[in-house]
Amino acid sequence: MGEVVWAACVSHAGGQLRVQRSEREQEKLDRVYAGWERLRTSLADARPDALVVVGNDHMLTFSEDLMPTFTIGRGDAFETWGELGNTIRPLPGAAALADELHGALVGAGFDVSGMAGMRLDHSYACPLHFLDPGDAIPLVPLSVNTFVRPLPSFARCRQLGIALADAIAAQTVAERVAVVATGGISHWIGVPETGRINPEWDEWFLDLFEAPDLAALDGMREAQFTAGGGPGAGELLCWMVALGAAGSRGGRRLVYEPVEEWITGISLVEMELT
Amino acid sequence: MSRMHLQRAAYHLSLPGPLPARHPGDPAAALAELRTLTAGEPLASLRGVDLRLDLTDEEAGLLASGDVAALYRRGVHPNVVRNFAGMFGIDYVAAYREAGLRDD
Repeated sequence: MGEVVWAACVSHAGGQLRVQRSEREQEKLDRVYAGWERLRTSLADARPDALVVVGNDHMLTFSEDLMPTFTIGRGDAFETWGELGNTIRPLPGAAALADELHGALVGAGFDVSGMAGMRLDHSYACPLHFLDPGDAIPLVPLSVNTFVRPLPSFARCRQLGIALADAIAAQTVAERVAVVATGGISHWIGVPETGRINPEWDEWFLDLFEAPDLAALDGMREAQFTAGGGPGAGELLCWMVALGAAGSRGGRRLVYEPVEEWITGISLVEMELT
Repeated sequence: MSRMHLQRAAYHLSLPGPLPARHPGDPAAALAELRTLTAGEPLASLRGVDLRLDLTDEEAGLLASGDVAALYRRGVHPNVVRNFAGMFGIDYVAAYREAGLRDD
């Protein structure tokens, strides 16, 4: 039987790799990097056999021609795209665990697609740069469509997380499994408002998420999070998966900084486990 | 011909890889090669995936000239616009400003 031994939600802005010095915001950057170091240590202390990374594709692996709602990456290796300051590198896959989780999630009523050798963008590569610098922990990537309508709902994503925890508990190929969700918080990219950050909305959302206020979170609508946090706030769907996987007990923010250099409201949250 | 084909062309041109690498800063040359690659069988029917690019001359002109503001206005997904701009060294924020899409 497996168990979720660690869970977190983290921003994945590629600027964190590209822009590490700033005349105006160095103290903010340093606080974020210190938060990453705390999370890296905490993940290592949890001694996971595998790491489920809940992320979202930015129109590289998928496009409007094909954008599955949920996709599990299958196989024993995944290549990164190497965009936005990341390097092209192979990441190890937890192939047997991916197959177990895929079958269990479909069996639980979540029609998750499976993709062999799914190529991974900065949503995965950037957080892993900080959390697992040696690329030692085998991965199961789980992609959520956060950008192309129709999006799944916040409630559906939390339910997927609950099913994911059940699937992790039921399988026998990995005893200790960690889960990290990536993305958010507010950011506007590719649109005329590019560069905007909304710290007030970010703080409001973090308060809901830490508590957690499940009624408010499950009831969050696309128009609401897009107005408050921009198109990039759709990535919080990934956070809802981690919230469900961790038992829906909320979390504790290690850091929140609205970083103009990275054009994103950056946060790192470690989840409370059941 | 349609937003779908414009979107598809912009998407393929925006992917990191050999195609843009062979034509740095030159979306017109990259588009010309992409149209050649996707025009014939069997590539166009590979694995049942429709790769055809049915573009009007005007749409091809928008891609070839790197007019990212026009691509955005035509409904190309903002992430694809961002990726396309990054691939060919285009400052899309400045282009949006020049096209009146932002007023700062």
